[in-house]
This record gives sequence, C-alpha cells and structure tokens, in this order.
Amino acid sequence: MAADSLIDEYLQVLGTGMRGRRDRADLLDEVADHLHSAAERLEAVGVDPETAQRRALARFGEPRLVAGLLTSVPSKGNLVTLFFSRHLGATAALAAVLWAVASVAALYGFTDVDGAWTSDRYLLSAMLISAACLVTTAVLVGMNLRATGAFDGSTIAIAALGVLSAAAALVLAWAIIFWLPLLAAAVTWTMARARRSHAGSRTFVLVLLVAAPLIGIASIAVTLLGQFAEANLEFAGWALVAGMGAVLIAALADLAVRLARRVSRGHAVPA
Amino acid sequence: MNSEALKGHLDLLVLAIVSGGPLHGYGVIERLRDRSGGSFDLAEGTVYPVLHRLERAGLLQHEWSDSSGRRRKLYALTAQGQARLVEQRQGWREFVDAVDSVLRRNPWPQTA
Repeated sequence: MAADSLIDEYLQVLGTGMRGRRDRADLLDEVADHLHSAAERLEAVGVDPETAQRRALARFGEPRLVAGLLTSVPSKGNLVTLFFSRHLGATAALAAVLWAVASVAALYGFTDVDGAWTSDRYLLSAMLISAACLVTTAVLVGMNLRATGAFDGSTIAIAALGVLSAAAALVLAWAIIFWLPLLAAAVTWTMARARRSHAGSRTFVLVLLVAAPLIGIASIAVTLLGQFAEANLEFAGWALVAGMGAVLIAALADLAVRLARRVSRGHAVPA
Repeated sequence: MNSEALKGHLDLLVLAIVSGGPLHGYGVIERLRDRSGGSFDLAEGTVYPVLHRLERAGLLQHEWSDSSGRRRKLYALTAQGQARLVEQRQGWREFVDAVDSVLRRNPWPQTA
C-alpha cells in the first residue's frame, strides 16, 4: 500500500531525528496515532487515502523541525522507568522460558514421578520457580509503567506482591498457598489495569483475569484440603504450578512477539 | 489570529481544554480549532511539546489506551494542573478587564 507508507516514511524520518531518546517508541506511537487519526478523519469525508495522508502530514509539520521540537522537552521518565518499559519484550520472553523450565523442574521436584526424588531436585525447582516469579514481576512492572508512565502506588504494590511471591517460592516452594496467591494477585491486578492499556492482547488479558484468581484460590483450597483430608495432593500442587506456568507462558510469549513485531514494523527506528 | 500571539496563552488554553476530561493530542488540537471558530489553527506538531512540558511540570498526567485499536496517549489534569487552571483563568480575566477598562476610558479610534 503506497498510501500507507507515507505516514510510515514520515515516522522513519522523525525517528532518526529523535535518536538518543530512550522514550522514542512512545513519542513515535503518539505521533503515529495523531497522523492516522487525522488521515482517517479526512478519509471519512471522502478524501482519497493518499491525499488524506499528505494533508495530515502537511498539517503536522516538517519532520526534522517536529523532531527538534519534540526532543526539546526532556523525557519525563527516569532511567529505571525507561529500562523496564524498553526491555519489556525481552523480559517477557525470558519469563516465558523460565516458566517452561520451572514447570518441568517442579514435576520432578514436587512429586516423585520417576521414583528418584532427591532434595536437590526440589531445591532446583524452588529456585527456578522463584526466578520465574521475579522476572514475571519485572514484566508486570513494565506493563504498569507503559500504561501509566510513572511508578504510582499501585505499581509499587504490585511489585511488592511479586517480589514477596518470589521470596516465598524460594523458601517454601512446596507450600503453594504462600506464594501462588501472591503472584496471582499481582497478575490479576496488573491485568485489571492493562485492560485499558495496550501492552498484551485483549484475549490474554481476559484469560489471565479469569485464570489467575482461579489458580490463586485453587492453591489455597488444595492446601487446606491436603491438611484436613490428609490426602497426598502433591500432583495437584504441581498441576496448579504448571497450570499457572502454562497460562503465563502463552500470555508472555504473545506479549514478547507483539512487542518485537511492533519494533520491526518501523515504529522504533534502529539507532 | 497571529500564531505568536497565541503562543503565550497556549498553556492556559491547553489546560482548559484538557480539564474537560482525558484527551489525546489530536483531540486537543481539534477542540482548540473548533472552540475558537477556526481562529486558533496551528502547526499540529507544535502542540505535543506543550503537552509534554505541562506534564513534566506536573500539571498533566497521561495514560495509554488502546480503545481506538492503536496505542493512544490520553492526557488528564492533575490536582496541581486544576489549581493552576483556576489561578490562570482568574489572572486572564483580571488582565482582560484591565485592558477593557483602559480601552473604554480612552475610546480607541480617538485622535489626540
């Protein structure tokens, strides 16, 4: 589509004029939304797509000039904010891998599936689960920051829940009643906020909004059941960890792929 | 309308427009144009530095939304921005009243 590339070309030039800005992707997204809105408005009154884009671009201003104006105001976010936001895709991919490894490790660490359980296996699975919780927390923080642009009270509370879950998982991984509900709460809270923001897909946000609380509640129920019924529920415990892992892997992979695609589409021009 | 004359008052105008509820940059520009009957029609790219500066000053805050199918940055007034708007609105009225009364006492097309 030739018409579509006019705005893309403009964004490319604008992007090169904003090299060195860590929040360049955000700046470009904001301008892209403006230009597409303006072009769509013109198309709605019968202007052909190419002319609509040309007019929208002309009204916006010469790209080098605009880049200069936009970069004249220092970015608001501090380095930490920008770090979480910028590396969200890579962090999500890492978290997905960690959950995959941790889910398998937990099968051998939580249950005696092959009759050769050792405490080392358990310790390894605990460390992997803790690491997965910690990196997932970094993703949740990144999503919150992208949506709000700053560390607000809710973001700090979500980060605290996530870090607590990672700490609890390291010490008491077998006691899923301690760490799984904490992680589920952090995920649910973030998804409730993410429903309005862009990071992640609508489908996965909804899936997590339903699945995370259910798994959190189930992990409490299974533990209590195990206490009172004295049933051996180690497989049930593992299933919940793996279930949480599976849902998170799907959502995290989706997030990582979306962010990678957005970068390669030219919204963030390589420096 | 001379765009230089507009520049000095852009902060107040943008704050007033955003006070109506969360709005993206395009919406701010549109409303500025519509409410001024087309008089305030500026190079659209120049509104963003104003929004970013006001946010940096703590008068605006933003949130990203994707209700339009695109990532969209929506600005809203902070409590500080609300206070500044009230203060600047008051200042503007006093200024306009003072100019008015000067002009009235000395009818303008008067030759000395």
